[in-house]
Amino acid sequence: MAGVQPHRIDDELAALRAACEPGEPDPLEVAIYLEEALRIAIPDDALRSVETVLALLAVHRGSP
Amino acid sequence: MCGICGIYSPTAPPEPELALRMMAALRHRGPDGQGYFRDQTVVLGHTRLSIIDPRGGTQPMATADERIWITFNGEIFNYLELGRELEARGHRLRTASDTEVAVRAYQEWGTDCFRRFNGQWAMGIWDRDAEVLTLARDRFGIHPLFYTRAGGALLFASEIKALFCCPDVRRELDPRGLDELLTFWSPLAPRTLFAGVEQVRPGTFLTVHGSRETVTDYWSPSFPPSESASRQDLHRNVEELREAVKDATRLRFLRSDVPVGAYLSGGIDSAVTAATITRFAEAELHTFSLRFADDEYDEGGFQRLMSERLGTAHREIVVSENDIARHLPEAVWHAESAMLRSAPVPMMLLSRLVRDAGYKVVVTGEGADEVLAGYDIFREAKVRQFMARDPQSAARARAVELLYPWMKRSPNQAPSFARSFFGQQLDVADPAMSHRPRWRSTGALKALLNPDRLPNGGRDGGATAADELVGQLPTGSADWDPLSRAQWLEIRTLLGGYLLSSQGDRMLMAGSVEGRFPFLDHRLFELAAQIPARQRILGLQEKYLLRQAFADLVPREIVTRAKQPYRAPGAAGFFGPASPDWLGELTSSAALARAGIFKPGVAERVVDKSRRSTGRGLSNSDSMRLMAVLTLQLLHHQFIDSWRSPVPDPSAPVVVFDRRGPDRRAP
Repeated sequence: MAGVQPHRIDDELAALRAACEPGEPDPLEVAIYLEEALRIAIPDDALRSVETVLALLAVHRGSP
Repeated sequence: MCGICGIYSPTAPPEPELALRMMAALRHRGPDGQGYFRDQTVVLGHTRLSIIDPRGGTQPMATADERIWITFNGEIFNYLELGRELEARGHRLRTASDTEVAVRAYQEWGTDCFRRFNGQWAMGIWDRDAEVLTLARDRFGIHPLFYTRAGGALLFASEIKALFCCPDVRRELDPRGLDELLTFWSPLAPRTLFAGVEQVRPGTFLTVHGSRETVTDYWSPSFPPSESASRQDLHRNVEELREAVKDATRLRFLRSDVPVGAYLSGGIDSAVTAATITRFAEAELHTFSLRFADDEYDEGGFQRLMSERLGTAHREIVVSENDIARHLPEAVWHAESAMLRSAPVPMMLLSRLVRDAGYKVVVTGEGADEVLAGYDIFREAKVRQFMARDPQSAARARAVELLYPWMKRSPNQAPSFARSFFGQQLDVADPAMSHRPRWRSTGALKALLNPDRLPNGGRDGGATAADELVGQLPTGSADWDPLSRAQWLEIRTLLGGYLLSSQGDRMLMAGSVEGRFPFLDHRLFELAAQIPARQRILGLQEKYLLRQAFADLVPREIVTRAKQPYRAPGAAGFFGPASPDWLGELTSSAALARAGIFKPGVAERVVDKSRRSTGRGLSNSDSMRLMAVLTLQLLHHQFIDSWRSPVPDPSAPVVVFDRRGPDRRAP
């Protein structure tokens, strides 16, 4: 996890989503955040929605 | 603020008459009084804007034994705490001024004193026994300090025009200064636009003894390696940032013996500082705003919203494009630099509104965008990093739409636009990747110049200035995250050279007003630098932490408002029915040829193109070309071609400390 504790990422993702209320963050913005936090590259086909981006986080943590 | 100047002449006694002329050139910085110290080697001059201890703070000032003398411009905001520390060490302070604390601190700790100061300053200190002159400047360069050499002497001053009062100082444009202006928007310290005139770099001091000169760094902006940012807890960071902003604002509001007002720009930063002030203010806060007659630039609605929320006594000035055209020559006179934007001019008019209201100190939100990563250039850099991971990805290129939502209205063109503009120079190994698009577009202005006005006759392809700057990135910066490197570059270039100078101190001082900037408290910077980059900009949410920290004090409309960069109308005022007389005179072929700055015919074409459109609808590039032509011509006219040395007012009283005798205690 590139040194960032999972609960920090959960906190920050929640803050990002709250900052975008009443709408939802764009999946690309969530991807930008996650790539920075996790030091990973997200494949194009996962950039379709917030859910597909976040699914990669679950994979990264080892839970499908 | 004040004006300071001095002459160090180890070979022949310096002339106080020259110092008086230099002080006359600085009178707008210090209209409340003036004085000078002289001995056999040095003259220290001072024009005073009295803010702390108006009765006791007369300058120049000395230690009790008169060994050390100081001429001081600025504020040491922690002077009460330092004064107590000095008294505990046996000093008996005679005044209630921060100037005395500064000179005593130098006496006690030598040049280590600068690290102890929390403030904004430029100062000259003369140690008569050691025969050492020290010139020091604050960490971010809030206050200016220039110097040059002439006839065996070293001259220093708050403004270059004071140096030009010496007939031995040559007045000519510096090719390297021009190169930097047309890359970064301003020359970078120690360089200026004038050959042979240097400025003390922010965070450094210069010591002079005989012919020996030494520059020493005492502070520089620094960031931790990206893997070791210590402040990981988002919620704690919000709380600690709030406390740091409050304390920085408290010091800058309360440490004054005259009333302090505040600017309201309509954005979050000044809203935060003004709202924080109302928590400490015992009387009604007076706020000041700049509005524009052109709705495209006006933020009056947000300004009024904030002033009504806080219940301030609010004043505003409405500036038109004609005002900008009329006052541009004054702004160049005060800035002593060319400008690629008209934005400084309204700031000068705003400072005069403050002064006319009887105020001479204002707190503003300046610095927040650099310290807390608020500018679009930082978000652009994040998007470009994202694009760089797969430059062929159309999905990634679409991220540019997140920065500029108008692109969504032309979905077929946005990705190609993104690739063409932001997709160039996507080299993640380049430590200046964030700034290359700006430097490239600004650098195109060099094509206007006569090649012999550029270093090496312009044969280096315009890369000199950028390469030199990248070479100055601190050791260890390769381990910083890209956002930190971008912040360092922004602080080193636009903040010090332009925002705090041409648009900051110099415009404030044109109205004899001191600006105070809580976000540039070094403790606040050092805290923010320890916050992980991913929190400084959360996703693409700029200044998320600040918005959270002050959500209870600032209206939601301002907290959630997208970043609105400060902009002013550009060219229209120069070519309408109120076109100023100076424009025709200074852009005639004869005047352009006489100055010799531009390639023959090129500047004329820039002006003609602008005139044909009556200055409306110009592209950003054409607008910058026009401003470069107008302001370089004005600069050349005022400081080189038609220079007139300011003349001292014989009726203005001058306090003189004449210490030429052998006994330095003699009256």
